[in-house]
Amino acid sequence: MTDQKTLCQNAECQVATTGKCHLGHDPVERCPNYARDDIVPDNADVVAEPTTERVAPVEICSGDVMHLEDLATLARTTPVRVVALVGDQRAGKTTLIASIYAMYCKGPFAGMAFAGSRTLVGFAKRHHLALLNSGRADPTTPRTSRDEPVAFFHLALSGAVGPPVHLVFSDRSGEAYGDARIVTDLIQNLPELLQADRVCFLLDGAKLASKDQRPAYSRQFKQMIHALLDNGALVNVKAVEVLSTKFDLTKRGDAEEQLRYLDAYERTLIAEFNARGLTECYRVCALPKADQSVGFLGLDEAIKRWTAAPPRPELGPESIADAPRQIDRMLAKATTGDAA
Amino acid sequence: MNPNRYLVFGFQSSGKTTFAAALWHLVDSREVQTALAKGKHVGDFRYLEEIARSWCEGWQVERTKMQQVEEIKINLQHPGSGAELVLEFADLSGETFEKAFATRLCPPAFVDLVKDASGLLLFVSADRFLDDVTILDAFAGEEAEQSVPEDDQGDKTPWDPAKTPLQVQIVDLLQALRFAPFVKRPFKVAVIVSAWDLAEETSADSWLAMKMPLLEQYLRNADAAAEVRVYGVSAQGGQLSKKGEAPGPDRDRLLALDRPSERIEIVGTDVRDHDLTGPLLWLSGLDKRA
Repeated sequence: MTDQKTLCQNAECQVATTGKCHLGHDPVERCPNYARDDIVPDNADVVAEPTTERVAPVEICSGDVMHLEDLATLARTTPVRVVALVGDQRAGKTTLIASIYAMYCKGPFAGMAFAGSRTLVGFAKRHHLALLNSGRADPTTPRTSRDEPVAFFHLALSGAVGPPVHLVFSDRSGEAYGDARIVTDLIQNLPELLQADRVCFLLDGAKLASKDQRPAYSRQFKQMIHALLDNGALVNVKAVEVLSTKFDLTKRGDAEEQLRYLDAYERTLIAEFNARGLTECYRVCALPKADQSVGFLGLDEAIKRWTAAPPRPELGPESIADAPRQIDRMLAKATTGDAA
Repeated sequence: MNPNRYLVFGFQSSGKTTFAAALWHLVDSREVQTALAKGKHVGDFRYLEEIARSWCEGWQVERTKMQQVEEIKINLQHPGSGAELVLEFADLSGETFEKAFATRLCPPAFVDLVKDASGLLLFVSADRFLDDVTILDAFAGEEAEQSVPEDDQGDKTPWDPAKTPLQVQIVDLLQALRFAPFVKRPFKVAVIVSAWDLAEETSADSWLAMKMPLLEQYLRNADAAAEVRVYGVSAQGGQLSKKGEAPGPDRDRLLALDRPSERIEIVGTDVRDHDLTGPLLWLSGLDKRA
């Protein structure tokens, strides 16, 4: 029920009963004193100056996640390192991103300090259900809808020396990756992979720990990597890695058996994809709610890998196979280490 | 652009208005020696007089209403160099900043203030609600209950901007100043940690690093600030209550001081006891002049 006081700040105004503005404004909504105590809707004036005319507010940068065109704009002025997170539904992509943001909210992390983010609002939206003031008893991360386009999160990190490193994480719904795995024509709808310097395949530790889900999931996970490799989606990618997520779940229940399976599966992955650049699997726990003794695992090493200085380019002459000149054949032997 | 026009930036109850009231009493009363002294008494001082009266009487200084953008203009002089300057700043309401974060809209007047500013007085309060505690932090060490499995849609509780940790909101808005419509170049930032009497840390720098680490990292590492200094300020000198309520616990003690300016406490680099003009001197750059 709206009373006189909340309808108009002017004590003499009888708009609540007569419908007419004391100052003669028509419509009454144009009066600067009208409905001033009400909650202001999102798109309404933020501040009304003490003038008779309301001034249109000015839009400021959104602070929300970036989309492809925003990434292109940023990349034109700033050297960015794009890390594409690929995984099935609920593999932990968004949770990983939110946890990295949360680490910097507590202070420098992994030898790097926070130096800015174009997407702080986007981060905050992904982390709000992990805060005590959310009213929840159990932290979680909002689900990324399949209707949402690919989103990019920006994080500028400053090390002891050199300019800041601008990390950009891509995030999209796991269903989109699942669909593209089965119908590979859809891979062309994953443009973040062409922008990526590094692709992280997120291996869902919860599914791998489950004997029910493990058989199908372990096959489908490899199928995803094959699908992207065989369809040329990773041609621009400089590094590929596997992150086993939810390590706190792996440590629950029959932990020994689960760890044995995980070890074996990781070895299988490396053996199968070593020639395609996969040399190591890593384990992370970005939200240790099942077993807090596990703690936040692997996030610092991930940040260190992703922010490490890229290897210097080889400036020497490339060796020539079957070179006609003796000197070139000697150089080829020296560079390849072939003494035969 | 007035080289001594500063943007006063701070959310609700961050101590902006109390600082202005105490500053006005300090320079106007000339009770203690200050780095910057009051210059000619020429101008409209109605707002300053109104808030300084509350301050003098030992009541909480009423915060700025959202509708108000109070222009504060004080003529000052620098005894060391003889330079005269006009200190101008706008006392914007805290709601202005909160609304800007939530709606991504701000009043055009704010854009003008930012563009005209030569430095920033950033207010945060040591008397703050802990808004960045995570659920895991709160229940650290307790045996985790079996999580209730969520359905595939997950928790659809909408994000409430007002519950975003304050330091995140501040950093976000400071970053926004670098982009349109502001396009502000890096400027000097004086961080004022108000209600310093409630802080447990020994220095304002360590308070900022401990209590608002994201903001501290941002100010030190991003290219947003040309220079940063952090000050701890207790502008009212203790705990007071609003006028009309029962007196605050420190009111009698503060009123007993012969020189009210001595209620003011400040810590930081190159500041003297009770002297709120120290941060302003540093922002003005006059501290480097003979």
